[in-house]
Amino acid sequence: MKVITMTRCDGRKNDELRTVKMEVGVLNRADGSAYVEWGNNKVYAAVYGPKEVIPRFLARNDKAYLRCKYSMAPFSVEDRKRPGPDRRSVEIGKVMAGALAPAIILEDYPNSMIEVLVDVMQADAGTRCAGITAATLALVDAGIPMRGLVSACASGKVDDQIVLDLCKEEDNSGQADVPLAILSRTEDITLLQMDGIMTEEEVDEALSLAIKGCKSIYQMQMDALKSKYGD
Amino acid sequence: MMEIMVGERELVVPGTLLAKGKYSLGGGVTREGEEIFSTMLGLFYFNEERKQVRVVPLEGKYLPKEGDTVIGRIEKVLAGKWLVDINSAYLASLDPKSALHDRIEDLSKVYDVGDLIFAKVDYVDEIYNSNLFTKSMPYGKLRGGALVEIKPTRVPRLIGKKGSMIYMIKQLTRSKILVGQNGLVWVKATSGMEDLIKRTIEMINNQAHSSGLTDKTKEYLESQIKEIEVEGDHNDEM
Repeated sequence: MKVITMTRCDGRKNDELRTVKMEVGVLNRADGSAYVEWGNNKVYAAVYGPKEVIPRFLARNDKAYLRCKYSMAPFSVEDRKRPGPDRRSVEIGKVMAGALAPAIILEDYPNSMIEVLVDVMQADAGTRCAGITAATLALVDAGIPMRGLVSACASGKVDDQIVLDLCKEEDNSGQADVPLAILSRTEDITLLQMDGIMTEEEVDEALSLAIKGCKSIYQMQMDALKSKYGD
Repeated sequence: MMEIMVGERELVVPGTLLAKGKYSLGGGVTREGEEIFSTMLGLFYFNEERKQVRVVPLEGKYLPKEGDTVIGRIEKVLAGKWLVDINSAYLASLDPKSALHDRIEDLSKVYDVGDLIFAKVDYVDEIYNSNLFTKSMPYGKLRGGALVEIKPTRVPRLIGKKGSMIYMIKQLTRSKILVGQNGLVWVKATSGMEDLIKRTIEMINNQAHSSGLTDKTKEYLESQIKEIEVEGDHNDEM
C-alpha cells in the first residue's frame, strides 16, 4: 500500500500559520511602534503623529491625512535590494494606507498627519500582511483612536491545494497568493489582492481560510497589546 | 436593554465591546447602533450616577482644551503674534493682547524663539486652533531649570488626587515644579535634586497604571534624599 503524506515544505498543515511573535512599544523615539516576527519575516512598524502636515497642501480641515511608507532593508532578501522607493514598495505603501484608513478615526485630528513607517528587516513572503499587522499595533500604541484592530493574513494555492500563509518557496512555486486584511470586529475586508489563477470555488475557499488566519492573528494582537501593561 | 460587558478599570483595546444600551458616552468610546466600543488602549470606567461609559487612554498626544495650563516653547515670532509648540499635533498662537499690558514693536524682545513659557489655554476651536494667555501670574517666561517630558496621558498620575503626589515631591525635595497638562514638566532645584526629581518623574511615567504609586514614590524619594544628604556631609568633611 502506498501512503501519501501531504506535507508542506516546512511541515505545516494546510490551515496552519507560521509561528508569530509580536511586541509593542519597541522604539523609544517613535510615538508608537511594534515589531512582528512572522516565520522568517522580521518587520518593524513606527507611527509618528498626529503632527503638522508636510507638504502643507495635503492638509484637510475635516480629517487627518494618513501616510504609509513601506520599505525593505537592502539585506532583507537574498540578492541585495537596491535601497530607496521602487514600484513595488510604493504600491504596498498605498494598499497598506487603504487597509488601515477605515479602522482609524481620522476625523478626530483635522489638519494633521499620521505617518506610518513599515520597515522590513528580513523578508520571507507575506511581508505586507506582517506590515499591516505591525502597523495596527503601532497605531494603537501611539494612542490614535481606532474603530477596531486590522489583522492581515494570506492564503494561496500550492500544488492544487488551498493553503494558509505561504512561505517563500511556496510563494515562488505556487499557483496563487491572496493577501487579505480585515477589520476583525466586523469582518469588513480592507485589503484583498490576488496574484495567480484560481477558480471561483477556490477563491471562496482561500478567502474563508484567510479570514480564519486573520482571526488567530487578531487574538495574538490583543495579547501583545495587553502584555505591554503586564496583563 | 442595558448591559455593561467589561469590569471597572479593566484594560481594553480598540474595538472591545464595552456596553449595550443607552449610556452616555465619555472619552475614548464610540457608538454603533446599540453597541458601544472602545477606540483607545486604556482603562474602562463606568460612572453609575451619570450612566456614562468612558475609556481613559494610556497613550496619545495632547489635545488642547480650554482652561488647561501648559508649558510651551516659542516656535516662531511673527509680526503680530507668537506661534508656540505645545507638544501637540497643532501649534498654538499667543496674541500680544493676552501676553502684554503695553504695546511693543519687537515681539522677540519679550519672548524669543526657543523660550519656554508657562501659559493657560484661553480658547480652542473645532479644528484645534488655540490661543494662549500669559498676562498674569503665575504665567510667563520660565528662566533656568530643566524640562522633563512625560506622556500627556500620565499627567493626572503625576499630579495625584487633589495634587497629593506633586505636593509631596515638592515638599520633600524643596524645589519648584510646574506641570503642564501637555506632558511637559519644568523643574528648578539644586543640581543633585534635579536629577532625583527627573528620575522620580520618569518612574511615575513608567508605572502610571499600577496602584499605590504615591506611597511607593514617597518611599523612593525619602531613601534617595537620605543618600544625597549623606554624600553631601561626606564631601564637607573632605
